[in-house]
Amino acid sequence: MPIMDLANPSRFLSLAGRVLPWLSAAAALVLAYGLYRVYGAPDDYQQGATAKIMFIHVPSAWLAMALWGAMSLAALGTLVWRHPLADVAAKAAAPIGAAFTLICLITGSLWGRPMWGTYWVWDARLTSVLVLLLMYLGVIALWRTIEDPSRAARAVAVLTLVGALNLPIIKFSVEWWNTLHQPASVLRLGGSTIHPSLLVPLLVMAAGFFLLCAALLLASMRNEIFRRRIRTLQMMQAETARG
Amino acid sequence: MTALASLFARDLRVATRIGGGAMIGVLFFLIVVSLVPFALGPDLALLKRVGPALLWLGALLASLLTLDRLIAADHEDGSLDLILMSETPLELALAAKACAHWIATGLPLVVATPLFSLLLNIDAAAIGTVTLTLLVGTPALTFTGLIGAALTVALRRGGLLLSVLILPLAVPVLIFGVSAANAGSPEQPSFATPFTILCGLTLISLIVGPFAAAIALRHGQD
Amino acid sequence: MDHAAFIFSAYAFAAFVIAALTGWIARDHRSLTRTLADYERRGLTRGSGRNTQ
Repeated sequence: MPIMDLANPSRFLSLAGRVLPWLSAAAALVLAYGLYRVYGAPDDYQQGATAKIMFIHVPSAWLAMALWGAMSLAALGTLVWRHPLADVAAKAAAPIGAAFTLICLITGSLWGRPMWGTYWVWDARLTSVLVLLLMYLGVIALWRTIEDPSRAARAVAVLTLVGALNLPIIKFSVEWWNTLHQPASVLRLGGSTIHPSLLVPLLVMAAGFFLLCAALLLASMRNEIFRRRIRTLQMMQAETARG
Repeated sequence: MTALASLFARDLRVATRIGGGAMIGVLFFLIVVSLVPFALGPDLALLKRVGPALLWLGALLASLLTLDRLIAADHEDGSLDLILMSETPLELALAAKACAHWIATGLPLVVATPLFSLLLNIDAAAIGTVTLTLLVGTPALTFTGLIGAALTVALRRGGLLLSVLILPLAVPVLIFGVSAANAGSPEQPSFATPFTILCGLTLISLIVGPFAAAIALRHGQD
Repeated sequence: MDHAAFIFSAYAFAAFVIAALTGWIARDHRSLTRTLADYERRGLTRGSGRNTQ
């Protein structure tokens, strides 16, 4: 089965090396086209041109969630199947996920300022994304704090899965909490429906982001495999030095 | 006495004996509740409004304080290995430990709440509500914190990292706990809804906490 | 700050973060392959005999 072949890190490395240039080129092209479509998109009749921020804000939100999903799958791979690449994938995904979560937050804030006058609103989506960022940072902290990579991978796997369980609960809680404290206006970033002429640029940008993310993930996984090899070599070296 | 019962009794004794756990938690709770008026000013109306939320925050932070010793202490003196090797299911053993921990550290917070509510000028009915929500909610904090304790067991400065890891998980408990505690105010009329959800969250944590912590401990050992 | 400035800042920030992430990964890659090549030159290999792909 082809997936099982990927389990071998060396195999993975050669595959990644071949795929990466194409993936990066594809990402660049799609993003370029996306930006072109964004530039040409009509102004939203309510929000004017600032709706164009949505074309980054929404895809990065999707990526932030998708990467946690990827980390959760990797976590299952680590805990249930002991798949050798699962650890690597999980570790590589965390900073990328955190980065896109941050992009989502900041662009959301920059969108909110001209819309509602403040740089931050405690609306359901932004608050959930803030909590997601805290969770990503917690995972990264755990990776960095536990020395042994395998032990770290297993601890992070548990945290990731518990976090995945927590995400819908958080979403529900924050939405409920939000309706308590903002009874009047329904401040929904993005509006209730997306006009078709805005949909295509959004999807193109989303596709570009996903391709970019895939490329970054592969490259980061490759680095992580190298890092582990170096660690093994260092340990071997220390062994032989001890004689 | 079964193994489980003796583990429970031993944890309870340790937590209450070594001057640490129980009383320090309550003391920290008191300090937090006292600090806030210094920061906010002595406006009684304001304090009454934010009182339940402050009590919840104080209880949350005080709970987190004592959690890092829960499993780490056993890890250090070797009893964790004994627990892992015994016939008692690890999940049950951890649940027993968490129970003992809550009785020793969480319950005193709940008992202290009515007294500290007076500091914040909360009225009588609200005192009852806040105390009830904390009674139901603090076990959720302890059992969720159990997961963090298991993840950070072998780390030297585990305490702070534990808090960082657990706080996002504690947000729903906080949201519904404070909502229930604020019941009766114009913005939060219903008590039943948030309270039932809070109960649900606690029940979930009673199951997920020990299971996740057990997985973390088992896998962390090889 | 008019609307155009907000839009520009948003895109600029996103580009900055992505560039920083890419740069970090690329720099890491260079330093890691260099270290591995160094080990290989010194004759240290792992069990499978090859360090780099």
